Amino acid sequence: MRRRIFHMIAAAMVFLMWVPASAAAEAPDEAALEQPVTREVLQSQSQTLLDTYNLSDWQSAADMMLGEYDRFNVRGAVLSFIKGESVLDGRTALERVLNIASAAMRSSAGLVAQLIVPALICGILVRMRAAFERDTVSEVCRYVAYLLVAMIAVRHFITQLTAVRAVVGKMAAGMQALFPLLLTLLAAVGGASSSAFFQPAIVAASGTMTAIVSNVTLSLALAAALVTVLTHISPQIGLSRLLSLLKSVANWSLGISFTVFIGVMAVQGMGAAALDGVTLRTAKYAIDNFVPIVGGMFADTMDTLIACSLLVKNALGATGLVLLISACVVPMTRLLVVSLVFKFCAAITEPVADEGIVSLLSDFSGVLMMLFTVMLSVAAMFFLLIAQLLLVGNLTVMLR
Amino acid sequence: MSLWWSVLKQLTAITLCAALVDLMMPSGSMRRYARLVSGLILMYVLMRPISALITGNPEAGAELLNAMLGQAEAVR
Repeated sequence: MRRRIFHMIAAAMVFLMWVPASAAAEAPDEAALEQPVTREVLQSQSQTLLDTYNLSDWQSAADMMLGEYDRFNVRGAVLSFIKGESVLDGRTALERVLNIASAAMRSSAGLVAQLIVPALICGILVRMRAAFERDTVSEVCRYVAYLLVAMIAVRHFITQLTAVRAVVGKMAAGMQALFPLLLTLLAAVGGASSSAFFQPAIVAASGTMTAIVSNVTLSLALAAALVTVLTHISPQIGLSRLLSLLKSVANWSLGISFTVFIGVMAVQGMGAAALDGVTLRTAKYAIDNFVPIVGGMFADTMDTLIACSLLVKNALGATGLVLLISACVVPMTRLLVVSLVFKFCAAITEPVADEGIVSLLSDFSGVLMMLFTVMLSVAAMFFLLIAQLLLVGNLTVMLR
Repeated sequence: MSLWWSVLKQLTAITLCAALVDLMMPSGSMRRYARLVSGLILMYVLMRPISALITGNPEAGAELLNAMLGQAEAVR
């Protein structure tokens, strides 16, 4: 009896082992057939979904943000993101940055000459102090040369400041154009309350934060540039503490507003995403169970629809990130190059030129870095905003 | 904001003048007094925003913020 049972169990096990094996023998063909088909279906569905959205706003925003630098095909980029192809290649990106940097260096050769020549002339005159009868003459020479260099430096600073203000405004306007579609898609993947939350958050980001940055922080940066000039004009007038005060207040204004913004968004956004996920789950459960017979089918269709929307939303968001990077890479690289040029001029004139001019040049590169920080933080804010929009959508779908 | 720019303008003008006067002064005891006077004037200019903060409108900060937000609305 026992033996019989054992035989039966053994036979059952063999049978059980044989069934999956035979299934597995058939499986490769099926998988090979089915997987590309699934992918293609998903891609074509996503493309159809993408076709229903009007991308002309995005295209015009891209043209506005990138300006004359290059032409960006939004639709093509989104499609290649959906297909999983690479859009931003690390090597080409680095090459482009280097090209921009070398072009900026070539165009700032004139600046180098303008900065170095007065400094050198003044330096030579001061070295020949002994030739003059009185010390005052060389002092006046120094004063005039200093004012010349300072004038050129301040003029360049104001050019860069205007450029930064323009780029910040462009990024804000571009984000205003990009976000409606992203928010629609966020609502389409089920993030109704996150989308309702992000609407005012984006307005706050691109309106209030931009206003604070371009009114407060950039004004402080301009004041810091002026005070930098005044600090080194005469060894008797000490304004270096005022300069460091202005710099710290500028950094604080940027840091505090940035922290408040990011903190509020992170906390609220996650809460909204969890709420949406749970709502979506409840809705699916309700459809599945309360609608007789076809409810399950509907629930599955809803799933597929959400997956397609998620794919399109992520592709669009990634395209937005690429756009944002391309919009600010050119002015940022230029700013870095100009800052580097000031440092370079300070380094090469130091052996000959007067100490005041040298320290003016090297401090000015620090003030230009302040502008760089401003631009970087605004870009980072928008970057984080888009990234969080994507994350919240994915979280909503994951919680489902 | 207008106070801010006027302070900056005054600061620039006074510093330039003080540096020039310092150059032109004959060396001697007069130079020291001139330095003292220009230093005191600079200090007065730098104190102006602080005294405006103390004696002025206590709601100035909130008003500034509202003005900026209003600007943001207008931009939008």
